Amino acid sequence: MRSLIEISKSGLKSAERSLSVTSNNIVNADTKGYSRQRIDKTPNGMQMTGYNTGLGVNISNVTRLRNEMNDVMLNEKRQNMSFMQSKARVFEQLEASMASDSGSDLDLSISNLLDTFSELSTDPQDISVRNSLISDARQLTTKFKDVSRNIDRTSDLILESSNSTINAINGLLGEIHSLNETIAQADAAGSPDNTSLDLRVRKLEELSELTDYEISTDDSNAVELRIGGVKVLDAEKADHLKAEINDVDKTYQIRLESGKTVEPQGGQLGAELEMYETEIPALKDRLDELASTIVTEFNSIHSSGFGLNDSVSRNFFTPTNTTADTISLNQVLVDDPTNIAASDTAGEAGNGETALQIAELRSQQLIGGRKLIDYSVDLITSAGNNLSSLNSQIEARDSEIQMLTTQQEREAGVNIDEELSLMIQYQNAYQGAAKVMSAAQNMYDTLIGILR
Amino acid sequence: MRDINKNRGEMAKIQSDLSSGKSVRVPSQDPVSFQRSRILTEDIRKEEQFQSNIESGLRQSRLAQDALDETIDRLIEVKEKVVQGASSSLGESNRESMADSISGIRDSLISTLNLSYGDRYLFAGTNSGDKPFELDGTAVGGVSNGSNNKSPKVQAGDGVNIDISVTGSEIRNTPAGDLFEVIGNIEQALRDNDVDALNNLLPDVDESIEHVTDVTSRLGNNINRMDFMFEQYEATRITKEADISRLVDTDYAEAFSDLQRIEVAYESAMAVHTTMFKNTLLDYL
Repeated sequence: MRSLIEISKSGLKSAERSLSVTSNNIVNADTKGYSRQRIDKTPNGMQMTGYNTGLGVNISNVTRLRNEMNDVMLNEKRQNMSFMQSKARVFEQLEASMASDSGSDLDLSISNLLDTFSELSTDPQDISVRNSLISDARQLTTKFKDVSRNIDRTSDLILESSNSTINAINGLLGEIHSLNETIAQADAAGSPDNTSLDLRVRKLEELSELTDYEISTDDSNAVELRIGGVKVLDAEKADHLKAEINDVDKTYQIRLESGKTVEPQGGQLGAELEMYETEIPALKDRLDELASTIVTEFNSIHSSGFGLNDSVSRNFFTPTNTTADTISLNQVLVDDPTNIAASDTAGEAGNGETALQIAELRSQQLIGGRKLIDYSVDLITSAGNNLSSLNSQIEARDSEIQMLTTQQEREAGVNIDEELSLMIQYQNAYQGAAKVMSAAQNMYDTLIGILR
Repeated sequence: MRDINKNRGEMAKIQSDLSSGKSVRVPSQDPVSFQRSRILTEDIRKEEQFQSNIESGLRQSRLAQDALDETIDRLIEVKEKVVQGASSSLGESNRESMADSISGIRDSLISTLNLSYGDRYLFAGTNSGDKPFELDGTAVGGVSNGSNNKSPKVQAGDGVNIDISVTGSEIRNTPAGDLFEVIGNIEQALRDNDVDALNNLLPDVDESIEHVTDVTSRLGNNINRMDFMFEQYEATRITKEADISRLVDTDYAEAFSDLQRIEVAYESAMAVHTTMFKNTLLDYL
């Protein structure tokens, strides 16, 4: 008789717990990193003489449904995705600073200058051609400086952003460390802390967007993280990342408190490092090479020719300024354009031989076996080229991530319809158990009535 | 949801293609086409500069040609005088006045050949800052030579430079000797009333006329060549522009049909999305 009350009590309890788990699932349906939970129930019973009787239901566990393997794979893809996306963002900026849809880019400026030299060779005595030559040359040097400054600016922005990336990583490492502790404590107490586990999944996901890492779990269910093989987090402590930057040599090192250096290869930080250390300096080098080739080639021809007034040989560009940043016109020519050397013989006003030679630089393969203009078109396209191949990789990676996410959703995601139907079940179970309880009470009442 | 976003992105791309008329505006949209179109544009620009050089060259060489034609006319006049003067029916005073008119012809030849285009003396070679011909009693033929023997030229193509005029030195240098010396000799012979000398000078005048005609026709050849090259550039430019257009411009027919296709996909994705979310168990509880 007493068992009736016990059975209905356990039924009420289990239905109530189940209902609370279900409702928690429902309200967390769109919470990031949340894994749906299920109640594990076991029947309770006891052996009586001659028969076995059930004694209600036991809640053995609240399990969290999640495929940890899938998470690891997903985070690897996410890391790679974010690596490519960050790179693509930078390349987008670089593309915008080098190539415009109006077409007035470096190639046009060089081409205009060579055009005007050709014009000058046709009419070496025309002062207006000389003036427009100066203005074209000025436009070219300004263009060089603009592009160079824009690239530098992008590089500076990456530095700033990498600082906040490192701060975010440090923050996440700290949070994961404290979650590690809570999870280990709960584990030791025998009941896993599902909330903290879900939170940790979410933090690891956030971290995977910032950097690549290897993950392993120790006996106490705490995660251990390594970046590029160097341990940054274990059950005992979370390390602190610190950036050491040399903006002149464009080197970027990340050091732990222990003095070890860490080299992230992926995620946003990996992308920022690669762009800052390799891609942008390489681009800048190519730009500088173009500038220095133009300075040298123009000067070597120009200094062999003569202006309209005298037989002094002059440089066209300032010969010591051979980078895109510094390239500048010879001031003597700006002050008096008649000093531009068009003639290869002093005193011949109608001689355009030197201007012609400079104009013919256009069809010579001066730089890496390429013509000046071809090289500069290649240069302004390079960022866009990278961007385009990244974009197609991103698209492919995106569908992989989508697939894995769908898989994980199937495992850990909350299906509201399913939860609702479970809710009805649990409600019914509760009502049933309550009915049993009231039936038992009636029985007791009857019994007590007899005794009265 | 992801498909809807993707569709929307594609629609935005097509919309910008259609409204701008260009499908490749920045390198990342299609690096190869972008690069090719830029290099073709550079080709066109280069050839346009050649065309502009040729145009300026043509203006100058046509002027020079006119001056040379005028010179030939003048020399024919000289020849007429020589023939006339060589006939014995004329008297000394007639020859004297003919000598004066020869001297006048020489002066007008000088001013014709001192033709300038802007600041440039067309028959001075590359020494075009100075007058090529000036009266000077001490010089050969009584006219000084300010010209050198390098003809001015224009860049008409890669490595193609075309002479746009002839030098004064070349005009003067006839097989019969210096042009002005020939004219001077005629004048002298007329003043000297020397019929024999005039008769002897007749072949010299013929040779001079022939020489200037040769020079003029050579210049005419150059003019034809420039005309031809100009036309050729014009023709290749049309093909190159068509190439560029094929590389970077929007194919409207394709863009419109793509737009319609994506619109359908977009609308059906939205329809599916709304009907899917409309049906939940929640409605039946």
